[in-house]
Amino acid sequence: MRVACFLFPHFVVQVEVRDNGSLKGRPIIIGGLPHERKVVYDASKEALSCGVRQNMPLREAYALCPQGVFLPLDEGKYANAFSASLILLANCSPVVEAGTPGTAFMDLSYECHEFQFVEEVRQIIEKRLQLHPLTSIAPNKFVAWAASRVARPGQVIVINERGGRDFLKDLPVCFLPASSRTLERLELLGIHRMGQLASLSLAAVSLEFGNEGKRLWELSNGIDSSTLIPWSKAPMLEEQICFEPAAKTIGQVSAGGDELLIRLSQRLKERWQCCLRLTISMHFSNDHIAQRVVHFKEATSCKETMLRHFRQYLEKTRFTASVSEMRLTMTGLCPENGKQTLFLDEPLKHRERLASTINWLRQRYGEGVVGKVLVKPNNPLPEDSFSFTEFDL
Amino acid sequence: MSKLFKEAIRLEVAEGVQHEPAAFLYKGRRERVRETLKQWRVVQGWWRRPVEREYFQVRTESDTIYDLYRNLFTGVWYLQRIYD
Amino acid sequence: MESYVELHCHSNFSLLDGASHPEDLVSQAAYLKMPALALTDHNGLYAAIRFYKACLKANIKHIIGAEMTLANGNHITLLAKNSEGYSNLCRLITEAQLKHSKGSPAINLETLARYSAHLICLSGCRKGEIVGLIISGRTEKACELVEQYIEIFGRENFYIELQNNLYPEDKHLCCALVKLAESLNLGYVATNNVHYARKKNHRLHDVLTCIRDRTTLDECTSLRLNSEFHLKSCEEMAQLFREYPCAISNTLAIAEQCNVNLDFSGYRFPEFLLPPGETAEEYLAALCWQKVHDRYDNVSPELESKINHELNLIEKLGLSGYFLIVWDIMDYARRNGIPAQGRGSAANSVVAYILGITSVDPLKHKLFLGRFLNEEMSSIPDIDIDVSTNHRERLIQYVYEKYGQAHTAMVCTYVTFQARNAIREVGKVLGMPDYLLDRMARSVAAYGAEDIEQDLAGIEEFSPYLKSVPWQEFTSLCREIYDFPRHLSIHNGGMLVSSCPLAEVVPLEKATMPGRIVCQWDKDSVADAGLIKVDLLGLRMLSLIHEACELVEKNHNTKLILNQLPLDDAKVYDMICRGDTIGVFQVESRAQMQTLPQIKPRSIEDLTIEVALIRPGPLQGNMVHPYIRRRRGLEKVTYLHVKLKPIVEDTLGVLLFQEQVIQVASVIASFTPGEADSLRRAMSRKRSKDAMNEMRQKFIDGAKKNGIEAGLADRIFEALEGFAEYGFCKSHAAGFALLCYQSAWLKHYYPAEFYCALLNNQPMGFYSPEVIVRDAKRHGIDVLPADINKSSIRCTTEGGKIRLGLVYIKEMGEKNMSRIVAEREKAPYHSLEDFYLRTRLERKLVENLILADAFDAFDDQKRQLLWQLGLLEKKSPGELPLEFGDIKVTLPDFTDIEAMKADYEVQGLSTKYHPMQVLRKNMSRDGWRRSSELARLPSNSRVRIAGYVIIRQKPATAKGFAFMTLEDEHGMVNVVVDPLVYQKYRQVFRLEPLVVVEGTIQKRDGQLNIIADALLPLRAAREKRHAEYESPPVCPD
Repeated sequence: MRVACFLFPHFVVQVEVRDNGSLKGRPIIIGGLPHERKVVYDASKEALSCGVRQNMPLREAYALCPQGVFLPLDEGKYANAFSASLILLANCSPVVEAGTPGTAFMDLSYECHEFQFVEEVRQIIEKRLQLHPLTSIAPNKFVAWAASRVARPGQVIVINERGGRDFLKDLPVCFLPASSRTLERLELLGIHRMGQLASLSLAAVSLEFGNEGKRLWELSNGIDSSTLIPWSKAPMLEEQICFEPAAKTIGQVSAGGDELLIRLSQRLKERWQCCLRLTISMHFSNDHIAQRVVHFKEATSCKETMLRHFRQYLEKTRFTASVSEMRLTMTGLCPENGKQTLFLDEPLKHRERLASTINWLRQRYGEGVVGKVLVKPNNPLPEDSFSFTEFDL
Repeated sequence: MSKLFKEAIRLEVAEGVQHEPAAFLYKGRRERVRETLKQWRVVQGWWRRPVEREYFQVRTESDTIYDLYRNLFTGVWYLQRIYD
Repeated sequence: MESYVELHCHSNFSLLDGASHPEDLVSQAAYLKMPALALTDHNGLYAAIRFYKACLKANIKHIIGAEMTLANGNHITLLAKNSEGYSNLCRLITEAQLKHSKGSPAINLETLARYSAHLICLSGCRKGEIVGLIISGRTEKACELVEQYIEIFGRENFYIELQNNLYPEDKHLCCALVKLAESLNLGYVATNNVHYARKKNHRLHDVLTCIRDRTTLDECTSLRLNSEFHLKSCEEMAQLFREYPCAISNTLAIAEQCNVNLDFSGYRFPEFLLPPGETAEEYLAALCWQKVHDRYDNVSPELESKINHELNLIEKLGLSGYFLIVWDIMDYARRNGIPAQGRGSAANSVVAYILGITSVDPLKHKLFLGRFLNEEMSSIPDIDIDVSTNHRERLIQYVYEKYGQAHTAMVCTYVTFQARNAIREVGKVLGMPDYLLDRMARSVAAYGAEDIEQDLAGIEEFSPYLKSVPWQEFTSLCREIYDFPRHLSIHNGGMLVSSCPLAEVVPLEKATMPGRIVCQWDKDSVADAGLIKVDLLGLRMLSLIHEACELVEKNHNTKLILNQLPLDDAKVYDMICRGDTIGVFQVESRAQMQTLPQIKPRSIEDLTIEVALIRPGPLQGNMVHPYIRRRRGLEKVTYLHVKLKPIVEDTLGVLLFQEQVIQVASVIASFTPGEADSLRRAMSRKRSKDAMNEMRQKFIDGAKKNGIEAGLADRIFEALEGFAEYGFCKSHAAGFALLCYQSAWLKHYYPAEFYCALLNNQPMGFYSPEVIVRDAKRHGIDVLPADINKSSIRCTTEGGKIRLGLVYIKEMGEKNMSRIVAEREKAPYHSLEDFYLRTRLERKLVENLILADAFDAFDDQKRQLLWQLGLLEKKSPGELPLEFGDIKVTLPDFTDIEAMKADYEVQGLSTKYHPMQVLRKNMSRDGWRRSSELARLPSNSRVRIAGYVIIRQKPATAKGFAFMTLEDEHGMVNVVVDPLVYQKYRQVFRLEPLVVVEGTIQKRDGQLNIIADALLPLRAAREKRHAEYESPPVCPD
């Protein structure tokens, strides 16, 4: 596989500066006004040099950088800007994955002149969107992402099919998606670079660090088998099946639906998402079409739940003819919430599981996605009786 | 139950001598205050956005209970809550 | 005009609740023209004396009271009507404090009833039970409860308390309470539940609330609704309670009934248990004549008259009992082998010497009694006793047992907000960034929080912040919180012993230490109230000497009796004269080390002078250099007046001791001993200009009568004034000189035992353990890292070497250490696995042990052990041993830098490495000198030298100069930083552990200093490792 990674450092800052040139070179802090009880979402390098950091309370950021330009978080604007870059990328390649906001991957497997191609795409992005990605080409997503992190502006790093491990070997282990506890232990054990981890035996690393260790070992060896999850503009997932010959019994249709749902729920899980609606469309051999939308009470990615609804639908429906084609569409996609999924199989304690889940989510979607609602019924100011805060591990 | 305005609504209020509300305009209707049920003062948030308010819980002649407050910095009145 | 008296008022001694000093409340009350003011802190009379004094000054009547917490958590307000009421209040508070766990005092109604006489009770604030019942609509129950209180206090002494702080329910509540009062024919009274003097103080009150709740302003859920809890004027209160005028007038009626006198000097001491038929005076005299031969071989007539003179004075001042009590304590210490000696001015007394209270012969040292006792004494002299810190507890227990729990208590002290903790705690509450607060707290030079802003603004790093609004708020709050009491602690040694049960005089409460009782007053309040205390001060040096002697006895089979050492051992003085004095009592400071080679003390008298000389007082009074010049024969010894010669002859014409001040005053200006002593007092810390001018005039007048002209008298007076503020008394210096000699003797002859004891008695002295470890090594005493099979809890000696104790390893805790030792006594540990499975310590602790080299004996690579630990941790108990054999991992060795870093992280010192020795390898720069090379270089050479900062000082007396001592792997070097350089490099000076100094060598009087022109931080290359991916690398220069 060949993957390109486009990483827009401080994406939202780039967007803000692009839209308002006068902000260039100033200490920008995005997240809200200083008195608001929110956290810093992102900050420009001028603000970072004052000690401002992501996820720091705005109040603290204000104390550190009183001269800072505080901007409210305009999520719509950033989402649009990100979509625009994804659309642009999607116009160039059939498979584009949206990573955390500001990171996109592109499948280059069918591209003969990958370097020229990516270079061109990069220039188009800079020209049309006036955003500046760090760019790299590598055999898989992790290597590509790591390469983009160390790429210089305007440069495209190319790593050949077998070069992943070698490229990673001098990079720090903190690039790995490891829990902070594991990172601490690695430091203590003198394992500072990915190459050091890669050179240990997989068995030993697995014994010491469990499943997490196994994955970290693979990544540091340049092995990342995760595939690109295609991004599509309209958020929906669809699978269809053609019955040849047309299905005559409910059993056949049900078996077909089962197969589709397996695929769909797999795709959902890959995206760490759930859906709220399932649309079932059937094409009968007499050219009749039946369509029905199932609304779930709460968003789900569980195949069994969906299958139950699907079967209930089959039981209630009167079939006038055999079914020649069936299409299942999932819409209303939203992130999974913790109640529904266990992200790690290891038997961990509740708190640790929560912590690792949050770590995963943050890695996946970036900082600021996991929040906690605080309810303060006795707050003297009625308008402050509830608030949304960053989840603190 | 009551309806809380997270963003309080600005009101035109006719005041008495001690700044107590006598009548106010809400949704185009003039509400006359029949009695003040409670009165309290809130001084909060001086470390980020100072808030000083004099709250009044009043029953109007239309027999509805309102929580109003006067911003003590500006003297402007707001409606915070309506009780069912 | 009508008046209002506030009867419910909290000062900042309602800890972390009240937001004004008692004095501020009083002055605001005076401003509001209140005729009286009550102080009602939570469950305590902590500030009673301060409040009383402030009231006297402001001419306001004081009302003493307290807000008590009942067993069910409700509050009531109590006010003392007279002295009996005051005693009852003390007893009630004592009961509430002692019968419940620390920090949650409470009383029940039975106790309340027992001590209710002569008290006025107000029904309480919003947290009162009656208010609670009314809010919940149970009026009948409220009536019943009120009847109960009426029964306890009497109808005329119980009032319903009305408060209106503009809370939503306040108006209704007042209305209901008045109805209740009227229905029961009770009085009612308005109060304002005051927590701060002025409205603007409400911010600080919010901050204190957050500190108490350990939260930030944004997160705090218990802030008060508004800022109405300040002292209000009569008009404001009358307006709030316009419907109930009685509530206002009753405050005055109550105030008139309250009259408490707070002078307790009549209580004094418990009677010393005497043989029947003998008075204390007779007994003391008999004791003296009996014991005189223990100290003196023959009693000369001069000695006899001296003793008689003293005994007469003691009798006249009524202090015989006091002397006997102190003698008894010292006698107990002697009988039980507890190292203890009297300190301070008591050593002037020959009686104290004979009784064994002090260990310095006042005759031999020509000590002067007037400093300790004289006929006109206005206050009682303190006899302070230094006790080995490790044994202090036994002595305290003895006093407790002898005089009874009810008559003894420790004096408390208040830990107050000063610059550093104010910055940290206020900053945290305001949500300021931790790392900035940490840097600010460490860079602030001011001790008091008043000058924080000015001080910090002078630092380039911080000045941009301080102009912004949040930081302005921060500094103003720090200024406001300055000197607020934060929590109660036990005074280092003050014990209160009284003839009546103490709980009638001052409330008692539990200290943090289990079983320990403290009184609610600090030493100033105790003194102001006229009570007497005995100070048993813990002195670690006594513990050190004791422990070192024990070790010597164990290791060398020699019993040392240090008090019988000849005081003239040349080798010991040689060592002292070299300035080789780390760990030696009183002469180990940088300034001492620098002057020792010049003054060259060769006798105990010289040491006495040395101890007293290198101190702020003489430094400020410009006494030091003249003395040194005279001592070295570079300057002629002269006297301002011939009459001064006998007084200051021993100190080469330089005024050095407090006793000399008194003697000069009496010889030159014919002051009586009492006058002379008050002159000394007037010069002490709290000097007032008027008092001084008065003294000066008196001195000059007196001198004139003795034929000394005014100009000269004035010059003499100035000399006195110059240093008296910080001067030592000679008796005290002589006592300390003895300890100095003993510790030096041990250091010279038994260095292993000395350093071991020194490491075991930390913290003490000037140097951190790491410096001591390196000093030990320079003296050929190797210090070994902790070892799980060899280390005890404390450090031990091991064949002339020192083995670090487990206590030096971070986070070990008493329980875990005992477990390690106990388990080892069954059988030695033979592997990490064996250790882990047998002790089952937390992983972090085992990790620390591994990092501290405690497993090195097993010969495994440290990282292999850490790896193994990870596997062991996953194993549940009882499981078969894991097979580690088949899977091998190769891990890098710790580099020197990593190992050193780990050493510092887990034990704060390294037995193997000096930081410079490790870092030197990474520095290829030419022209960097080592400390050992400097001596060979000529004076005025330019040098560049890097080292680890072991001392940094900026003495107030040094006119802006600052000093630091750098240490590298070869030795130490002193650096002088002039005011301009200091200003420029202040942050490096104060914060950096490793510093590069550029400057010139100055050689003078055998001393080598580097005069710095630049200070630069030495940052290790290791910090740059990942920096390239995070932020631009920081260059060292």
